[in-house]
Amino acid sequence: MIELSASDPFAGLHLPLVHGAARLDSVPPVRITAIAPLPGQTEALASALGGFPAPGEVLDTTLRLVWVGRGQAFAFGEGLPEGLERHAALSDQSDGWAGAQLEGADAQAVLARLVAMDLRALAVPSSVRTLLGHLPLLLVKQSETAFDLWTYRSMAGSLSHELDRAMRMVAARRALA
Amino acid sequence: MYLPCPCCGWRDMREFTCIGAADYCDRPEADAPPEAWDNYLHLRDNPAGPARDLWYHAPCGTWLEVARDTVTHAVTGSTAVEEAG
Ligand SMILES: [Zn+2]
Repeated sequence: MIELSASDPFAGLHLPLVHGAARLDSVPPVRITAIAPLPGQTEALASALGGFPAPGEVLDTTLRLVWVGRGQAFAFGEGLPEGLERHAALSDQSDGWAGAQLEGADAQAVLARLVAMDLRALAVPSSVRTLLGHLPLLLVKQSETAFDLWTYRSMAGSLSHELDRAMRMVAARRALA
Repeated sequence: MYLPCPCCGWRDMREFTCIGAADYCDRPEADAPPEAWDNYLHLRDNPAGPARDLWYHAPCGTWLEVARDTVTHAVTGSTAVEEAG
């Protein structure tokens, strides 16, 4: 059997990037399982999982459950309960996504240039599906100064490029002030 | 322009795709006369005033029916097509 070796979606992109009061680094690889409740099974699924996130919600059980769309959540981490396939369609998405964390006092100022949403108003933790520039984005607000930014793996280069540029611009503005 | 997604709240228009008049939700029965299918596929009202549009919010995957006014540009609400039945 062929043994595939894991590779970092941000390989060759010079992470971490640090400009001014913002730092971008890749999120360590983690198991991601998409969970979509089968018709009429949301309640049974929620009791098997210890909850099922409503729109925008992040639930921390033994796993981190993140709302990612209509009737869908991602479980981050290992150890899904046995027999979950009776209640939901499950698919392994670990290789399909690239995650980077933007952190620092200017993290929100950097994202304000790329994401058409007021991130100050969001609870901690919470999740948002939106766009970063033209890129599909799953944003998880970890704190007022730390945001996990997930996009499709093939777009990791564009994600870090957009953020690098915005981080440089914000840092340059701060230097002028 | 901002639109209210029943799932995500008010979002910038660039996150949405406009499909056209919400007439697309009112599909005729399979045995309906050709006139009904002609109307469904090709004929639209082009109202000046209240209008119902079908939009898709790609980030969360919700199809929504948006109520807006083509004269004032006011957006007055939306419902998820799934919930409207
Ligand atoms: Zn939405």
